Amino acid sequence: VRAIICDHSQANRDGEKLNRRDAMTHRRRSLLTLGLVLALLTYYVVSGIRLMRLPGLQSDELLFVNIARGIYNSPETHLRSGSR
Amino acid sequence: MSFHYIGSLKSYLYIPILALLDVSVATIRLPVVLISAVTLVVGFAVLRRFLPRWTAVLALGLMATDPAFLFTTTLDFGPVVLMLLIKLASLLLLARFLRAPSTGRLLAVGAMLLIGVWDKLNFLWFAAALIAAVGVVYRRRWWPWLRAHRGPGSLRRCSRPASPRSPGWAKSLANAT
Repeated sequence: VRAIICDHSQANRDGEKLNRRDAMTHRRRSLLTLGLVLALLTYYVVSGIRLMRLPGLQSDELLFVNIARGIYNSPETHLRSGSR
Repeated sequence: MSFHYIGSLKSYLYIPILALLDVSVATIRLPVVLISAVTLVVGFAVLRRFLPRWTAVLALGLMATDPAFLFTTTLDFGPVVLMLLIKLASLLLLARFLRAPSTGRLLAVGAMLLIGVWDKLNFLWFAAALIAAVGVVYRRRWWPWLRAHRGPGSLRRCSRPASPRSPGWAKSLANAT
């Protein structure tokens, strides 16, 4: 009986070790994924900010701005959007 | 409407920004860059539901470094920024609904599709394709749920007189979710 109990406790300890190792691996993978995702997002935002400096605003952009400012009927809006 | 087929969702989003800050290249373009960053996160969440971890990371990398994506989203050429975000958000909500169907999740998908149509009328193409595809391909996921809701038990629940304290539709919605 004692041998069986010892075997069981050994098996339990081994199982716990394996579970702990799996949990560690899972956590490491999750952290690595999070790091990669954050790095890619940072790259995108920095590239966007650098590209943002292109001179001149598009007609679409001005149109939305004018509407947000409540000046939809300004001649500039209609000229830039190409409508009359 | 800004154009004949484009709604004023983007203009409504810009009202508080322009009320606080002056019009400049940064105030016009930075918000769409940040919205597109959220789009990338939502896209990654959608990809993770269907693909293995590293494939999803690779796909996110391709999206984030794609010059076409970067250029069109920074200048909001199209305009595409809100459309892409709403498309991916509706796909994410749909994936949640298909995993565990409920009335609340279905309403969320419907609301997202309606916002998409309000943003841009040609979103109807996407919405129609999505509904048709889900109807045909994922029928096994939603049909049992719908049939269970149309059973005699649910009919009895619906026909029961509503309590004066809480409306019947609120109770059934709470039970369903």
